[in-house]
Amino acid sequence: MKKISILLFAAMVLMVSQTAFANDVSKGINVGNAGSFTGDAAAPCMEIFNSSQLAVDEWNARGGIQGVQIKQIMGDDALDPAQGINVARKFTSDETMYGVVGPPVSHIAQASLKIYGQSDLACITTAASKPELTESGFKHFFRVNARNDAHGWNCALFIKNTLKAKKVAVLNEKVAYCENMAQQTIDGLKKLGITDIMTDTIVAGSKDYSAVLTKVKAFNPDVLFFVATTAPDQAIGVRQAKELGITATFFGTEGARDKTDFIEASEGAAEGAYVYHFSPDIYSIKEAAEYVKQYETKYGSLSGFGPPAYEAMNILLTAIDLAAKDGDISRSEVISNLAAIKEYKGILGFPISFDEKGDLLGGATYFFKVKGKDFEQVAVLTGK
Amino acid sequence: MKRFKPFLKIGPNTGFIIFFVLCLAVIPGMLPNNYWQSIFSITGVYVMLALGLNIVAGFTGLLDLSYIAFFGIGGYTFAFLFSDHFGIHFPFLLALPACALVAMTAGFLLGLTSIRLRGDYLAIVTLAFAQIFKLLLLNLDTPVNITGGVNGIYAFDMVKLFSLKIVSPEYYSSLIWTCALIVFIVSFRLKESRIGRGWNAIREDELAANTIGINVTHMKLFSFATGAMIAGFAGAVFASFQDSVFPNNFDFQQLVIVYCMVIIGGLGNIYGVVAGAVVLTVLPEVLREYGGLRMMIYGVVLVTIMALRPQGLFSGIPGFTKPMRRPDKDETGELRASTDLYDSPDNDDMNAEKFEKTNLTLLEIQDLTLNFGGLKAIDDLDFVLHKNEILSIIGPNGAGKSTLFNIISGIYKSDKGKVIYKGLDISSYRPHGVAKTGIARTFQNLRLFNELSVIENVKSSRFCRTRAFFFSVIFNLPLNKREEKQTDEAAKKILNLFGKRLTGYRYDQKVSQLSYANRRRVEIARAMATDPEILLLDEPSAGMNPQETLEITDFIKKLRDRFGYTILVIEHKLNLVKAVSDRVVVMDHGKKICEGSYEDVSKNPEVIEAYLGKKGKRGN
Amino acid sequence: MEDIFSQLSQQAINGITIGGVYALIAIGYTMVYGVLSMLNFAHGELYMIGGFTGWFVLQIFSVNHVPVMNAALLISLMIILSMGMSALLGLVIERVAYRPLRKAPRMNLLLSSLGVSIFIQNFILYFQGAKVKVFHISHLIPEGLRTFHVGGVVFSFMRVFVIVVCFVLMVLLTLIIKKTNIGKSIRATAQDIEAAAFMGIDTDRIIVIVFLIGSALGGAAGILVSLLFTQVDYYVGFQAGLKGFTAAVLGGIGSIPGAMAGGLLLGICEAMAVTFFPSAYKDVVAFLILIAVLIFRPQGLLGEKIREKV
Repeated sequence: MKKISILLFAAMVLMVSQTAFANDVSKGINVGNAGSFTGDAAAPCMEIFNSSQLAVDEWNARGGIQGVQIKQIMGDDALDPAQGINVARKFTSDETMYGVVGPPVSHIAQASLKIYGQSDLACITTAASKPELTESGFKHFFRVNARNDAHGWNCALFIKNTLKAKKVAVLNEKVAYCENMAQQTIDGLKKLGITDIMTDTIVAGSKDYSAVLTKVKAFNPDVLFFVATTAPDQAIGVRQAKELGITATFFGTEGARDKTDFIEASEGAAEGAYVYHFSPDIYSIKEAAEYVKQYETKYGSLSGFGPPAYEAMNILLTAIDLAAKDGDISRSEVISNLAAIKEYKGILGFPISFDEKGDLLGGATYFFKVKGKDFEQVAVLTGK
Repeated sequence: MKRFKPFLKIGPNTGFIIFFVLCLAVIPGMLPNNYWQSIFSITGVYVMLALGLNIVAGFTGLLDLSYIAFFGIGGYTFAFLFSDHFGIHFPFLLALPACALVAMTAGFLLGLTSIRLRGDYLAIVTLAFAQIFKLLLLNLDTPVNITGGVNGIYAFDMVKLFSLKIVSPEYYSSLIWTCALIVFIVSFRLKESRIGRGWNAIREDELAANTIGINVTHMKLFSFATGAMIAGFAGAVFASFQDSVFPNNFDFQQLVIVYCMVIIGGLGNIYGVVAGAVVLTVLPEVLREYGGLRMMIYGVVLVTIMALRPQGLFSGIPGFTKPMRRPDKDETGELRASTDLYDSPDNDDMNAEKFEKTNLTLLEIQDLTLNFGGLKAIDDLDFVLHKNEILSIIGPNGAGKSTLFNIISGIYKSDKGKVIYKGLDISSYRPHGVAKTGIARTFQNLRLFNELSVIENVKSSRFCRTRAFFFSVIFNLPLNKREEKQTDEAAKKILNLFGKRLTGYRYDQKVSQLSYANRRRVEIARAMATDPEILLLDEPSAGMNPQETLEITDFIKKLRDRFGYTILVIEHKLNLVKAVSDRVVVMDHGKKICEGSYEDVSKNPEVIEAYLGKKGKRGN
Repeated sequence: MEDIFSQLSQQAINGITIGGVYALIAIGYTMVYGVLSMLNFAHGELYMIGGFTGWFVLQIFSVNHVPVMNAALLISLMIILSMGMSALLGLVIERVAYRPLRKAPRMNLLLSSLGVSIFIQNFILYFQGAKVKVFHISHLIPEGLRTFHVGGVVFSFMRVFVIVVCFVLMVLLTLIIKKTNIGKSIRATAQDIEAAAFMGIDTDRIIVIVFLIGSALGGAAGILVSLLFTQVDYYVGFQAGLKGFTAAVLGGIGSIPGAMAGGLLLGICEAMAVTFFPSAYKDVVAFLILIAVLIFRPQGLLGEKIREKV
């Protein structure tokens, strides 16, 4: 019948040709930047993008890779894992794309992990800290930041030793990063002997935390650890906590390390609050002076998100350059070059090496206090 | 463009079948890269979704705003059954129907709670349910991780179909479009069946549908559940394709997109809906419009189409719908004059049975009382209707005559008193139950299914006399074949009783295009098609000119004399009453003020007073 | 014991504040439903537009977040302009999207209002971005009045302000409806639009007025909440809209006192629920109430059962 012959023909057509994802250098070199460029996380993600662009521009000014200009392509997931998957599909379908910086948000990274992994497309994240991302068996995922298990322990140490707390309230969003971070910190606190802990959840973007903060007030803790993703939410948190008369020290996450969206937005309520971050105060690092100057002239002031991105893009381009030396680049070559990175000296003030899982060897947690209109680095903890 | 002939006996036309086969067999191999492959696959999923919504909102007219939640239920159930999340590993071919069934059950349960609510309220409840569903998805990850929260569930098992590993995107596309084809054919079968007719009737006029024997509540529930089932099926397929599920896959935005697809295609128009789905998935990609602009356009699309072309963009285009030409206009566009006289001589057998009034009590109205607030609409009404009798109910406006019909047919429930039919107390029966027992009615203000054709209107009445249901219809089993044939014959036979007025080209004419008198006739035909014993005719000659009134008078007599119906008539035209009635009951202010033959009643002073007022002091 | 008491009272204050806002939104829904028997899905977006308008006004009249005019004057200006802008938008929507569909089937109207809602929301998203707009209000509030404590309960100035303004607006509205001729015409039109027309009431004009009032109240709710939480973004309308019409249905759709009661009740229920359950389930409470009301008592607390005339 007509139908059957069409189907037979189709079956023959359904020969899948494996593309080996290997290409001639001259076809072009694309690198992707996967992040949440619309929404409340736009500011840090744009900083990541701009910093990476700075690195790309510098390489291009030096002649690119093997004479070919590099192009950075933006992939916006708007904090939505479903869109993150679309971005991953788009990037992996692009034959001339050899690496991606990002995604910086853990739950997006974990959703798209398999797609990148199955296409052997290297990903270097600058901020995604959920430990499981490198425990899944894929070899393509690398980090220039420490993981939540390190951060959680350091935060617990900080809360106990520096903030001298005996009662702690932990509020977290339900996304992978926040949940995981809160859990790691609580585990750490318990190990250190602090057991009077209250936990509750908050919803990102809901603008009103007075209900849950009222519960916190009744608990009367020494420290309120507000584990949210974005700065605007933490600004509301610190402001409403103050309004309700909560005397606990406010301790926020890396997302809050933003002068405009956290300190300014809270209109003074953030004074004396603490945040932790995965990258140091870039202004105090000698090696970064040139980068800082370039960035500020072009894009404005820096928070903590830019420098690791600059570093990551440079590392990625180095690996791609190495792979391109023979005129042919393949994605798997890029991955093995990245895995072999040892003692890369960049602008972060410490040498970067990846372990066999793709994690950063020996990362630290940096702690900042809000003083006036800016953040002041007050501690660096490396797990002791 | 030449019209494609239907491919199967009842089913979509060849053009579309070819389209689907191309989609599932040829196009996957032709797409340039994985990105376009995924767009193509997503289009298939949307086609399924749109077809499912078309059943609920298009066929049945239910504004279901929870539709996407069932898509999500299907998707998440698939995630539960086909991954390491709970450690359950169903085989793929079992997982798909399982998800569809779970979604259908959820739809059924939600429907149970809310299907009786009026249109707006149904929309609100379904909207609330969708919101609750999303909130549950986002929050049921502590203390026990059920849904994975914002992080979703990902990394499913590998799909194996009879040891064929479905891994490559091309295979997925074929799989998805095969499923879409299945849904497409199912939609068609449902539409052109007794079930589809029932749904269309409900959409057009719920009350009238009820009175011709369609259990509106059950059918609405069934429609709702079927839509949910298809959505669940699509959800499972989608989940397997995306290899993950996230709450944002199933949010309000998606619902709006699917609604746009259905509306652009035209509510109820299966081909159009498929086209709408394809257009609205592919076009934004081609135009590279993302985010805000795309949704803005959807918003504008919804508003403009509702205002300017609510039947959808794809209606009236050859190949998509039956052509809109009016069958009563011939090729040159001239109206075919219908000069046929109704009164074709009766060349039937003189030996044909002739019915006469009897004294057998068929229907008893006992002490019937109904109050509307403080107004006594029916006040202690008492009378009896005999088999094969023609009884007229007359009285001034507001006497309660139509209210009486409403009580008998089950639309209102009386406060006191009973309606007894052949010894059975039917006072608390709902309208469809009353119709099933054998009482049919027409309405004073005509309640036809306006968008349906003449023959479809009459065929819908056969619903309560046929049985074929889902599987019988889908697979066109012998029961369905037989019943369709019988329905067609019965409808045509009844329509033929009206002479040539409603036959031939008239069968397919939309009733809203008929003359007023013809519409009245169709309504009577529709009532007759339920095979009733008793006919309640509410002002059957209203709006007719003297010639037409004569015709209908003869017709009413013929209904009893030749066909043996028992008839209860409400009328104002006293010459008609005189001509047809065996007995007359006169009502005023809800009470029976007189009963007897026409002669007796017309001489009764109370009756005269009720109609003409008291004889005043001025003149006699 | 005192702990629980002060926590409950604090939550109650939270509940009343947000309840007042819900009431304002609910009134808008209920008034439109009363005269047109339609649910205006786009109403939530009018709330959002109110918030945005207020933000723009604040930006225009401040330099570096410091207002250039008297704070009280500025806040009043913000509120009035927000209400005005929303009212205007409501008018436009009625004229463009709803009036042509007066005689159309109900589904068409509902879908059209859905379309309007989607359009406005994404219009703002496209032109203003997804990021929140922050209100720097500390300069608008006199220094010493920022927060004050009564017993164990903390009141912030803004919270009290919002409660007071909501109350004032509700009283004003009740006076208009009950004491003026326009109010009478509105009530008549809501009862039976055809009869009202026969009695000489220009029902088209009344419908326009109803949209004006309802939208203005929605806009007011929007700016008040934005001031209270110091943020607004393109998405707030959707959530607020749902809560608002839950409140309207709870109180009895079509009944203005019902909308007020429903709003307050909803706010308090939410606050109480958060006290005892994980706060992430706050929104679920609202929707469960909605479904329960619709199933067990569709006419709401103060509404009337309507019989369909055949």
